[in-house]
Amino acid sequence: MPEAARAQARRVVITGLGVVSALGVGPEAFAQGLWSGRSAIARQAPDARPPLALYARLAAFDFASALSASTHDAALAERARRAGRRAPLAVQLSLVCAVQAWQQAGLGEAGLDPEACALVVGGQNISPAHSFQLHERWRDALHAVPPSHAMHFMDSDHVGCVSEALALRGEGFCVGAASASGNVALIHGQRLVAAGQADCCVVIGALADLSPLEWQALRNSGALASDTTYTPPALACRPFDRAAAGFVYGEAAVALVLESRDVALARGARPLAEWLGGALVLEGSRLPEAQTQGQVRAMRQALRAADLGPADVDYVSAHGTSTPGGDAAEAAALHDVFAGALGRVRINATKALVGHALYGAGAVAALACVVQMQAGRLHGNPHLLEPIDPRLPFVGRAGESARVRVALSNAHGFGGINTAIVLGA
Amino acid sequence: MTVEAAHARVLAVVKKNIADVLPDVDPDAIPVEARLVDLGANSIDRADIVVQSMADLGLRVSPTELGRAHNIAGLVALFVEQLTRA
Repeated sequence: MPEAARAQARRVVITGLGVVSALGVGPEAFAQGLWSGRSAIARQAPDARPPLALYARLAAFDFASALSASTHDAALAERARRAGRRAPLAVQLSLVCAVQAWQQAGLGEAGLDPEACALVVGGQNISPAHSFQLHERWRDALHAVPPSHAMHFMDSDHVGCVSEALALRGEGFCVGAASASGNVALIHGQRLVAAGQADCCVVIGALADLSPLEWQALRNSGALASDTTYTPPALACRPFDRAAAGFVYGEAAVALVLESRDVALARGARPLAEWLGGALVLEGSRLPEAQTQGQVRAMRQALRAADLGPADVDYVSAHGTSTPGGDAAEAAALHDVFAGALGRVRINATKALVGHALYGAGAVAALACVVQMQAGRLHGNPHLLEPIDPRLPFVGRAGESARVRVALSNAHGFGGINTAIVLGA
Repeated sequence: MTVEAAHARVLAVVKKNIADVLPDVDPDAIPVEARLVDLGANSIDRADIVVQSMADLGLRVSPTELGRAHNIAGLVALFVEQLTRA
């Protein structure tokens, strides 16, 4: 960012969190899941939808109940219910998370100008499962396809529904960056607030609701872990371990509220964490294989944006998908950036506990960073038995107490999309 | 099919779809002289109710024809007319 622009940029903090995941619903339950060290990944029935033998599956989800549990503002819950009652599952999860985060941030009573409240939804091709199901149902009667599908087939349905529920009237849009979507959404939300174009921005990491087509393509590409014979089965997801053999899906949706620090403090809100920097860099490659150089650039640029160096970082939330190529590239990138500062930094990979949320992964990690910083605790790497690079300072299997003042969180997407964000306590 | 039978069938189908699209509406207490918008249906809700009802009844009615129906009773009458046509 040009020097003049940086000087005028407002400080941005996180004031609200929301999550619906297999590890827990709501930030407190999610945190408890992190400390438990028990992965939410489990073997699924053969007729499971999505058609995966192994994944972290959401507990039975009831939209209306989840909304009621997310806020004591009955009018807010009702607006969200009406906005999402016939929307695809992913939209309903976005609504629940948004309501949780809005509630925690205390924005219902804050009286912020709705035109100063923005929305960024991270994710593209969010609900192919929905289209697939409609195709199965209406293939022989195409003339009768529900008109409402004209809204629901687009990812912007999330923007419409969440903005209606929360009465957001500032800027709003979706960002697509594959598995980096969560971080890219945060980066863009932060930019709006830092530049004074919004006082607050709700950032959503949307559920990835893929159809059998996408799952089969991922399976055929070799990206998915397929060994279900481990005990426990969750051991198949083992980021940075020698036996890592593919990622395991985890159902999750997340919301974070970014807010101008001045605005938050003026209204008596308590920041949960501060945004220190972020970076998004392209590899210049359309391939899915992760490359070390792009990841190094993303981390270095994010730290530069934060006016920090590797020696200032207490904790790294790795992208750590448990794919051999991805883990190796990231391990090399971490080694490159933190060479000479390996004594202080601690590294873990949240996907072992939550699974890979795909679009929302970066937002899940950001939420996990905030939760860990608040608790003074880092979750473990429960499935890391034989690290591919023993020189890297991975948190042990059980987790540890830690005072984290600066956290760096990586997210990388197919197509050479590399991101890193830096959060401060 | 007699007009009475057609009417009963159409009414049941339309009520079912209203209940499906507008779960807050009591299907047994729908005033047929009301318009769908009066029951809280937005434009997409109205389209869904109409399209799904036509699909259930095996009817295909042009938007021009549909425009003749001004309330629920009118919609029912239109569908009955289509069903009992030769």
